[in-house]
Amino acid sequence: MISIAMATNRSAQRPNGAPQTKVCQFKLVLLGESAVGKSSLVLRFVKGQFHEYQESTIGAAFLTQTLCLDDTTVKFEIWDTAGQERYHSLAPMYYRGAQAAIVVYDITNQDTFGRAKNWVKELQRQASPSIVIALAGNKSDLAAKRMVEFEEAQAYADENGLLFMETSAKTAMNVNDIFLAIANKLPKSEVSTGGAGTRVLNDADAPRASSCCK
Amino acid sequence: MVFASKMPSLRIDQSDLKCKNGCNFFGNPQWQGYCSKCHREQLQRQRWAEKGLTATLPKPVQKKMERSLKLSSHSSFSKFEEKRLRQSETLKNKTNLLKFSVFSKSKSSEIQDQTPERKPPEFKVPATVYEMMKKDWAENFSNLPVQVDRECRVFVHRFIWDVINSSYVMNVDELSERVQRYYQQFIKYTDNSPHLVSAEPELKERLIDFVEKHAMTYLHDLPGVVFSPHGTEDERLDRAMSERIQQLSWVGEKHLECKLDHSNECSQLLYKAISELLAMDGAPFGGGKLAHVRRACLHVLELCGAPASADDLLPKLIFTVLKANPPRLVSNINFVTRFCNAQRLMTGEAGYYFTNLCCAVSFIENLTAESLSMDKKEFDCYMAMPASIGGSTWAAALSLCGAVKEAEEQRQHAEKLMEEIKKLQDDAEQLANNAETFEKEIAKKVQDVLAKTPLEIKPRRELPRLRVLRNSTGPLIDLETSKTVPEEDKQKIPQINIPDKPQDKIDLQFETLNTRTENILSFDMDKSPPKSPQNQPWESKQTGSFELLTPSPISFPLFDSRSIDERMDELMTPEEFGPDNLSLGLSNINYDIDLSDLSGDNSYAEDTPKEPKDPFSPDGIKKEPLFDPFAPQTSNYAILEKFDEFTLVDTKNKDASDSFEVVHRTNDFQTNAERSDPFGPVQAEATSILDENNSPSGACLLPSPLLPQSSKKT
Repeated sequence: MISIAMATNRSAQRPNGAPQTKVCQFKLVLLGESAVGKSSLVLRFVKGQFHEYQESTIGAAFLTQTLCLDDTTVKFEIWDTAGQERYHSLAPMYYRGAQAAIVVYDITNQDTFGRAKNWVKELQRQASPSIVIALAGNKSDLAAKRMVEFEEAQAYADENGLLFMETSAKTAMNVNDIFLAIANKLPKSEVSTGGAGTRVLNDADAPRASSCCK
Repeated sequence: MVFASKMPSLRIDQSDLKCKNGCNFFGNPQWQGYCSKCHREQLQRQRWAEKGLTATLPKPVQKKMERSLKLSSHSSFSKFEEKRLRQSETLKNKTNLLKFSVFSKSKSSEIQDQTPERKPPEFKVPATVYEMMKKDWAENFSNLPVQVDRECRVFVHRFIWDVINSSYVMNVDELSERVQRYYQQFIKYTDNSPHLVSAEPELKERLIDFVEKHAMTYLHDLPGVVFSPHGTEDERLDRAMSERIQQLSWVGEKHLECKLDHSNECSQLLYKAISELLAMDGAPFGGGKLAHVRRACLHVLELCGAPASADDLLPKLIFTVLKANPPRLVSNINFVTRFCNAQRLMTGEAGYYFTNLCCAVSFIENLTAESLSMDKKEFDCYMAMPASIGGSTWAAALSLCGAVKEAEEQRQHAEKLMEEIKKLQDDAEQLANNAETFEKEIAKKVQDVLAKTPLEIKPRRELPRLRVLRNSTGPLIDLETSKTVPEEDKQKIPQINIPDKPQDKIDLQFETLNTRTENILSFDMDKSPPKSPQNQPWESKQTGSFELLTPSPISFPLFDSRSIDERMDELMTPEEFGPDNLSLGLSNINYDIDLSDLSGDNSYAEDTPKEPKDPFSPDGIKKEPLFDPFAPQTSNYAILEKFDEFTLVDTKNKDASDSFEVVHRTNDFQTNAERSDPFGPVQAEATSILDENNSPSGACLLPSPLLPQSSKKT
C-alpha cells in the first residue's frame, strides 16, 4: 500500500506563505451513549448556546469551530455519531482518520460511563494510534444526582492516558477547556497529521474492495 | 456533437457539418459523419469490438445518446428508470464482455506487452472534454491566468489517458491509488504554481474540484473503467443491495425508532431527500455525488427537527435510503470512495454526510433482528415475505393506491349507508307523524262518535230526572218527558243494564251484549206491542198480586234468559262462569227463545207457571241448586234496582208509578227477608228461579226451603 501524505495542514506547505500562523485542521469525533449531551456539548462549544429543550434548528451533526492557540489556528471539524447501541458497529466508519475523539458520558448515569469505557477501549484498539482521546463527564450541573464519582473517572482516565474533565453544556463549565486541552495535545507537525489522516480511509476501504474482488 | 444535437435543427450550423467525434475537422456523410481520421478509428474500433475490446474505448455514439437522454429527463423518477435501463444495458454489455474476460485479461496483458506504443495513438481524449472545460473555466475561473487553464487541460488529458491505459493492467485498488496520486500531484501543482501564489485556499480547492470533475465526468461514463470497473462485483452487489432493500421495505419508522410526523412538510422533505439520493447516480463525478448526498442529508436533518444530532440523523437517513432504494448504490459508493479526492471524503461536511450514507448502507447490509431490536422469528417472517408484498417503493405506491381506492370505496359505501339511514329516519318520522295524525283522527272520530252518541249526557239527564222524579215524585212529569224520548230510552236501557249486571265482563263481550241486548230489548219492545194484548194486561196486572211473584215486571224476559243461560253455560262450562256468563248467554239464547219465552212467560205469568217448564225443565232442574248461592243474589238485586229505574223510565203506562212503588217494596222486603234468613240468598234465588221457571221440578229438588217461600209469596 502506497502511503500518500496528504496535507491536512496545508499552511505549512505554503512556500511563499508568511510564517505567521499555521492552520491545522483536525477531525474530532464525538462518541457516547445517546442523550448524554453530545450535541449539547458541541453546540455550546461552537455556538455558545444551550437550549434546554433544543428548540434551535441548528444541525449539530457536523460542525466546525476554530480555536486560536498562540502560534497556530486549530480548526476542529466535529463529527457527531449516533450513540444508540444498535449503531455501535458503525462507529469505526466515523472515527477512522480522526485525530481526536471525545468520549462523553453522563455523570448521573452509571451505564453511560460503562459504555464510555467500551468506546475508549475500542478507540485504543482500532482507531489511529496517535488519536487524542478525551473523556468528558457531562451534566456536572446535576451533581446532586451524581452516580459516577469524579475520582473514579479520573482514576480511569489516568490509567488509560486520557484527558478528563467534567463538563456542563448547560453552564458551559469546562466546555471550551476540554477542546483547548485537546488542541494543545494534538501534534501540529505536518507528518503526523498526514500520516494519521487520509490513508486510513483507504485502509478501511481495502477489505471491502478486496472482498469484492474475490 | 452533444451541443449540436441539443440545438433545434432548423438551420444547419457549421458545427453540424463537423466531425461527429468532436474534433475540429469537418465530417463527411460517407464516413458516417466523421472526419477521415475518426472514421478510420471508428472502423478500427469496430474491428476491436469483435475481439472483445470495445468496452475499453469510448463509444461516442452511445455516449451521446445517453447524454441527450439525461438532458431530457428531469424528474428523479424518470432518471431513476433511465438508470435502471442503463444498468441493464451495461449488464448486457458486461455479460458479453465476461465471455471474453477470461482470455481478454491475458490478451490485454499480451497487448500490453506487444503494443504499449501502439495503443496511445489509438486513443484520443475527445474534444468535448476540452470544450466543456473551456466553458466551465470561462464561467468560474475567468480571473485566473490563461496558463492555468491550459495547464489544467493538459493535466486532465494526461490524467484521463493514464487512467484508461492503466485500467487494463491494474486492479481497482491500484487504479484508485493512481487516481489519488494524480489528485495529489495536482494539489502540489496548485501549491507550487507561480500563477496561483496569491490564490485563496478555497479557490485552489475549487480548482482541484474542477479538474476532478472534468476528468471523472469523462471516465465515469466509460463502461468498466472507474464506475463499477471490470474485475469487481459492484454490479452484482448493486443488484443484491437493491433486492435487499426491497426485501426490507417493511422496515418502518418504529423499527428504526425514528419518529416522523406525517405532516405535509415532513413528507415533502422526505421526498426531497429521496430524490437527492436518486439523483446521486446521475452525477457523473464524485464531487457531484457528494453534493447530492450532502443535500439529501441536510433535508433529512431538517426532517429531524430541533435537536438535529447524529442520533436522529442516522436512523432517518437509513429510513430514507430504504424508501429511496437508490439505483446502483454500491457502485456509486465504491466509485466515490475509490476515485473521489480522498481529502474530500475525510474532511468537510460532504465527507461527514457521505460517511453517514456509508454507515446507513452498511447498517442495511448487516441488518439483523437484533439491530432492529425485534423478535428473531418476527424478523424472519418479514424477511421470508416475498418482496412484492413488502413492496418496493413502486409496489408500496401501488398498494397505497389500492388502499386509497379501497378506502374510497368504503367511504362511498358508508355514504350510501348514511343515506339509507337518513331515509329510514325520515320514514320513521313520517310513520310517527302518520301514527300521530292517525291517533288524532281516531281520537277525533272517537270524539265524534262520542259526540254523536252522547253516552255521558244521557245518564246524566236521566239521573237528575230520576232524582228529580224521586224527589219531586211527580209521576206525571216523568211520563211526559219519557214520552218525548222513547227511542232514547230504548237505547238507554241496555246501556244501563249491562254495566250493572256484568261488571266483570270484557268490553267486547260487553259490546256484543250491548248490541244484542239492544236488539233483544228493542226486539222485545218491538215485539211487545204486537203482543200488547198480552203485555198490557200483564202490566196492568203488575199492581196486582203478580208483583209478588216476580220482582220486576219487565225483568221477565231477562230472568227467563238468565235461567236459560245458566243452563246453557253449565252445559259448556263449569260453575265459575255461571254468574258472569249469565249476561253473555243471555243474549245468545234469548234470541232463540225469547219470542217463545216472552209469549210463554207472559202466558205462564198470566196463566200457569208450568208452561215454560217443558223445554227447559230438565236442564234447569239440575243446575239451579249449584248456581243460586253466588250470582243471583247480587244480580238479582242489581237487576231489581235497574229494573226499577228501567221501569221508571220505561214504563210509559200511567200505572207504572204504582207498580214501581210496589216493586221497591217487594225488593226491600225480599232483601230484608234474605238478610234475616240464613238461607236468604238461596231462598231469594230459589224464589227467583222458581218465579222465573215456575218449575215443579225445581220444587221437587229443593222441596223444603222453596216451597214455603213460594207458598208465602203466593
